[in-house]
Amino acid sequence: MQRCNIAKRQLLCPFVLTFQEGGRNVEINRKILKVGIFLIGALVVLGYVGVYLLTLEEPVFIEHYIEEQLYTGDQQGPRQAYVELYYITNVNDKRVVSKVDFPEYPDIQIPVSEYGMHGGFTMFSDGQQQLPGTIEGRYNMRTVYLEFAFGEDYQDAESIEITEAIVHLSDGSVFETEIGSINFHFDEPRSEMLESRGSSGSSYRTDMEFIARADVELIGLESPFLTLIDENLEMTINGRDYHEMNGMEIEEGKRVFIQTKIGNADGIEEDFRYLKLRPKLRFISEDSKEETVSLIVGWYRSPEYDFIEILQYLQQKGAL
Amino acid sequence: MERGYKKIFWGLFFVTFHLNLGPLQLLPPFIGWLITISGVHELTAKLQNSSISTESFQRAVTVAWGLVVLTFIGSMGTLASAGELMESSIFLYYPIIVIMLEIITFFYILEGTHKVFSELSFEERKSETQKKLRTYLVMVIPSALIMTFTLFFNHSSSMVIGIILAIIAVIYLLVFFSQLKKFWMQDPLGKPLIEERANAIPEEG
Repeated sequence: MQRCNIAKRQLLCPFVLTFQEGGRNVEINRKILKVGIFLIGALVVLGYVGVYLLTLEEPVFIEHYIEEQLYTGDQQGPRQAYVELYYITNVNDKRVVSKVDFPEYPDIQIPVSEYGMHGGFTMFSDGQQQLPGTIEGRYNMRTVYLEFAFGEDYQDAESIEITEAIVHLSDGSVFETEIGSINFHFDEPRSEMLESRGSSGSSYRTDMEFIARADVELIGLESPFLTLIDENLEMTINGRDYHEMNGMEIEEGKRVFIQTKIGNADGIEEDFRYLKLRPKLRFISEDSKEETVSLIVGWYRSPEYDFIEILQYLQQKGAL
Repeated sequence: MERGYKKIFWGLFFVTFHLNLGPLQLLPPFIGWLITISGVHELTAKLQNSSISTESFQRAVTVAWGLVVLTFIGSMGTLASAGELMESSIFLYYPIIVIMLEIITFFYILEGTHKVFSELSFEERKSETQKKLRTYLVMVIPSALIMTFTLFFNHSSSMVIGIILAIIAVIYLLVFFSQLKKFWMQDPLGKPLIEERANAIPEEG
């Protein structure tokens, strides 16, 4: 109204107001455009900087600690085992793993696939399959499935420990990486003195029951990777913490009830550590012989992650 | 004028909705932008002999040529041989840059339209144009911001929100261009000769 008063003739007042309101509208719209374009442009620039900083030079394999059971349907046939390896790559990486060699065991040649063992091997892929993996922000967590088979010439598979891999990608690029440790077992040890009465298990909890067929004395647990899980392992044997099992006597006919719970990973490094353990119970039998018996149900822990956790892990590994 | 807005309407329509025959786009977006440019040229041609400024329309044409080039590159990128290049990180924000230029183009087209109504004293239409422009900006800018954010984080549910908002903004604009087309067809003054109306307005002072 103040401006309206400036108008010398009252009759012009409505036009002055309309003109000024119209002009103000134009200015406001211009400001909205400028601010909007600036914000979008700034986000785009930041986005490109982020992409540049977060792009991996090559895929990063997480650590795997695997005790794998070799099995066979036929005693004469090859001993087989399926192993999963996880790796992180850029979200727009269209390549897949086409071959994996092991520098420690150059004669091990195995089929690999990122589409599962029944999804067709990459060597036969026509490139039209949907890209595998789980996308989290700028990264894709992929799984490579490996099918190991050991023939008669590998009677010594029990002593195999794979820690490194030479990874071939579908575009022809090759890189060498540490993968943790993969161990194989030929047979699950059984014992007539500690007879399994059943077991049940989920990803994080297992219950097992044995019955003693003779007097035995428990000594401890056996697994090459026990130290990696010790802090997160809640295990009781007949209600007592497993750390106190050494010297525990089980009389003939008594039951051994084992409850196991694997707690959450503690820290980013553990979060990205894939565990597949097949622990064994060590005991001394009546005739003072040391024996082991398989706990039947393995212990598993797969990586759990989101974009921020992947970022933290990659930073911790020095991959960024 | 109605021919100009009709072309802008169809240009925007083909930019937004395109038919694909396998990998081949029947009406690629750059054709839509060429139609839009042709529509804006029609408007400036109509205003050529009047005192009404065509500066905003000319700016819209300049920006729209940038869109023709960009969307032509984008259409070539859909061909199998260049597909991988388009999926690389360099082209991550290609759609956002296109949207930015699109916003600027339509800002200038609507600003030019506002000037025409202003000069011809169509007060209601003038004010309505500014309101429509603001509503369009208020919808399309947040949509572009959401999409910029989600393209980085690959957050598909947020991306859907951004795309829906962008589609609503475009439909809103399409409806307004359709109204503008009808207005110039059914002008109560009977298809005004812009030159005459513009020249009839007494100059200030």
